[in-house]
Amino acid sequence: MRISKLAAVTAAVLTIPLAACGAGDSGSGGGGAAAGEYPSEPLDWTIAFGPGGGNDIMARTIVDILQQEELYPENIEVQNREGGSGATGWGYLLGQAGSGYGISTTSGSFITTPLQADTGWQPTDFTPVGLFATDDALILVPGDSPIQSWEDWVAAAQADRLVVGGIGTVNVDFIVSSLLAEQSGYEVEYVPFNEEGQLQTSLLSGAVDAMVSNPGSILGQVEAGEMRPLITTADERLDVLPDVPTTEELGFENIPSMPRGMILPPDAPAEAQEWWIETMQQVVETEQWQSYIEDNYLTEDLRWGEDFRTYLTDTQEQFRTILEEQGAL
Amino acid sequence: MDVFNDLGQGILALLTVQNILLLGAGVLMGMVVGVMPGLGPSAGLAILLPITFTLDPTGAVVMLAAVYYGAMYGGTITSVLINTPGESATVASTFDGYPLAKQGRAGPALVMAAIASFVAGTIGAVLISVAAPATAAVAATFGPPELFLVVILGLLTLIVIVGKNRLLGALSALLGFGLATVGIDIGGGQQRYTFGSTELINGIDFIPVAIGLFGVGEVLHTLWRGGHLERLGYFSVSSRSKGFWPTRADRRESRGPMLRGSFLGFLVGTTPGAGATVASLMSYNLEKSISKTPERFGKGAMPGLVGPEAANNAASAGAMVPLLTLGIPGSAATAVLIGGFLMWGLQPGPLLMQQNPEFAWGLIASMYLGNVMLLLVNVFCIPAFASIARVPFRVLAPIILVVCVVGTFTVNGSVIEVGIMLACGVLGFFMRRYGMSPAALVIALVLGPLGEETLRQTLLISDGSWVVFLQRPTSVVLLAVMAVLVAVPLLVPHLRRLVRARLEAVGRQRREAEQPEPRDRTTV
Amino acid sequence: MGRGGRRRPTGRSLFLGVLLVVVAGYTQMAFELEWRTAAGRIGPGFFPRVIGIAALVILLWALVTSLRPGAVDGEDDAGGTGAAGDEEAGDADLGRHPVPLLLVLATAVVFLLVFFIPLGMVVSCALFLLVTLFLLNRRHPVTNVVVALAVPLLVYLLFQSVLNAGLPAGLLPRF
Repeated sequence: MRISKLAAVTAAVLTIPLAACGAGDSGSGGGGAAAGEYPSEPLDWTIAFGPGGGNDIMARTIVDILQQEELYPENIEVQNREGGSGATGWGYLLGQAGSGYGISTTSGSFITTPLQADTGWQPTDFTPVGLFATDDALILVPGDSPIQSWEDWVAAAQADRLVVGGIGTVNVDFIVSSLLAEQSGYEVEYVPFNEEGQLQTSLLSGAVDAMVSNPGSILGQVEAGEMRPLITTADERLDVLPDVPTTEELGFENIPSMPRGMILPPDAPAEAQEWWIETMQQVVETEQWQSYIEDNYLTEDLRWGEDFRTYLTDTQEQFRTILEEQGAL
Repeated sequence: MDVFNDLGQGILALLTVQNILLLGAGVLMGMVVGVMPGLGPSAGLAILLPITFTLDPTGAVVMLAAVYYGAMYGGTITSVLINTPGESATVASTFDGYPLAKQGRAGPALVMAAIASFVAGTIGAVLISVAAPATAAVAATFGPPELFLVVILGLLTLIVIVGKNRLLGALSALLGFGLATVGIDIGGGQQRYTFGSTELINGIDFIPVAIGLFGVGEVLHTLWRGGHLERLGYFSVSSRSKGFWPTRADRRESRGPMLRGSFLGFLVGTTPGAGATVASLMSYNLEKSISKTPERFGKGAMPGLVGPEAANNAASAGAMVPLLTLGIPGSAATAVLIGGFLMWGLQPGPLLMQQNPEFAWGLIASMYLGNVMLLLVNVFCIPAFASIARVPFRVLAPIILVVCVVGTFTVNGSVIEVGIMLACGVLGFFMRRYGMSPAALVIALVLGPLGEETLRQTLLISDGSWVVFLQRPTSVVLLAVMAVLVAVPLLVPHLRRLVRARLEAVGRQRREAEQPEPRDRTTV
Repeated sequence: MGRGGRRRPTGRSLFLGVLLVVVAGYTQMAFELEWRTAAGRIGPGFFPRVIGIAALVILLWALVTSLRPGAVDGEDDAGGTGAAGDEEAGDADLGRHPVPLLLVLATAVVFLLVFFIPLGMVVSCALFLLVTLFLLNRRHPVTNVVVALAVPLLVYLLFQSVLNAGLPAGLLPRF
């Protein structure tokens, strides 16, 4: 527990994190720029997690594309502002309200962190740019398990008390596991872990019977035959795992995935929002972006502007309902 | 052998001018980052990771290996010189490293620590080369029950380090465990002791607490004792501060701890979780238990520094085993590396070594080279670092405070953490003054959350039954190790007395005078 | 100070008393957390209660001991007279110095905590060093000024300009 935190915490290389300072500086700057042409100032890019994580990799990929294609004319200052499961970084962005020169990328915690802590912001407070992709979940069993298919799993789970591991409690993994169990009519024991490494060895050591994970972090294990995927929450079967059925095929409804999108500070100028929507529409067409999606086994899911806000509202409501039903909130 | 062929090729492939420059630069930058209190290897890697995205994967890995070793050693320097561990893995290095420096033996302490790091790093790299698949098989048997037992093994050290005053030592550890419960409870997502603050959601970080208790606490305590009135350097209190290089006695008594620490560290390091920290603590524990002169531990015993140093370096090599063979990050630093793998377009997993042999062997080879480079750089740097021991305390004290504050701030950019750090400095002062143990508090703070998490996971998995610890082969082995570790310190003095009585009976031996009456003392 | 227990509420008793209040608060809050979860497993309040109660018991015992006549106050008070060990036997007994201690600490709180962000790292650290160095090292004003300027600048250059570590610039422009 401490280890993952240390990694993340020490990883964070921050500038002044006080939201107030940021607000003072960039708030006035943003106001001035609103009158003129939009991108006329350096961009202050917040990554709400430490280097090396999924959010960091996506943000740095986008920055790289923006620079290579020379889409953003000014300097881009990228900072990891890590802490409180995203609360610190997005809190910093909140402090830049009114500015068009603060920006950040989102992940599952963007929805779940405000549910469990008083962060001072809700996902819908921010100016939405768009949703680009979802990181789908997989349910996996060890490679030497007798369970070969999802049907086997359901039968086994109905017969015995089985244990599923995943990351965190107030998190997508837990929600996916509970919804699948509820809709298939079995009960499992969900064991929360703090970091992926411990979760994976727990499955390999046979301590847990199955785990929830994402294709990007687990595909190496699947290729090596160490783990066997049973089901994916993606809308369509993944190219790399053509034999794994989707939840939709098997008749499940409303199984969420982790949203990967982009936001501006609250009340950002309308031209900033428009500029970013147009620019990101170009970015997602680039070859580099497509290969990023492919390499990290994400599912493209494009929703722009207000569509993204609606998506966030709906997803958060859904999460809240499920978590309250399960007694996790 | 195939392995050495691959490895030789790997090393040869790395010996380009560019790579050697990257190695040198990496070691130096790593040391600079590591010398800042609070910034250790994982911070060094994280700060410099983005820079390496511009390099090819091999160049990047060479540089990162160098940064890693540099930063580890940088942390040792601050542990020894100003009693401030930069990472939980170097807490054990303060126990005897700092007393050594206070006796004016900073030079020998730093040199022996560098040699121990080099030896352990090399042994670790050799072990990865030959034993990775076998150890990986062991690492793959670690679930929550095993991890919990490993944490308990680390906590056993508490018994050794609290020394004389067991009660206050236990109280110190309880304070640490208490601090560790702050934050979101992983078991159910409930908030504990956060008082609604988002800053505390992830709990109280180890770094400001350790810097405060150790670094600032020590400065305040020395001020209290009138250290600023001393005319000589901070450490030149005694007249013994002559030799810079280790004496023959130093080298002789370090050999065993170095080897034991290396093997122990490598093994413990392969377990996912708090590998390096537990390894260094266990090594300290082991060396004190089997030492003929345990009473010197905590007062500047060279084995008490060399053992943990070797263990934590070898553990970092051990942490590479699950990374390379299973694709699983075993430590904070390897978690950062996995992010790097993805950026370089490598798929971490059990097939990494088969699919990218030149990369995997390049990584192992750069660990060898990183170690060699560290030793070379150290030959020039240690005298410079050790010379701060000659700066008078009245000048050094304010500088140490500045460095502690800047280091704490840099980690998270949080002024609140600077406040926590200074408050812990005051707490550390009182703890020192009234015979409590800051080390016990810090160890409890680091290992407590992992212990609680894994115990609760274990009981969830087993449906509340404790028998699970006896049902899994690896956890049975760990229980046996624990039994031995508890039994040895109890039995050794007994056995030794028996043996000595025997020897005395046979004939009066010359060396019977070497043992003063053993006396325990609080180790801080 | 406090040797031989002439002054009854010694520093030790006061310190333990403060800890006792804090730990009591901690324990009180632990009882608001669940001992067991709905499923009958270890709940979030389990360890806090165990820790809190154990710490309370030890603290009470230590506090009572420290109030007894003849109790030693500071560990090192006895150490100075050679009663508690030879580790620091080499240290000359230079008395106790609460005033410089408090002054340095207060200066640190002012410059390194309160004004760290508004003034920026370089200015606040330089001011802190100036004040504390003139307090501790009055006889070498030149050294003091040089150290007070050079140390913050070096650290800033290294960590901000080279490694981009995010130190506050404050009054000075970023460089």
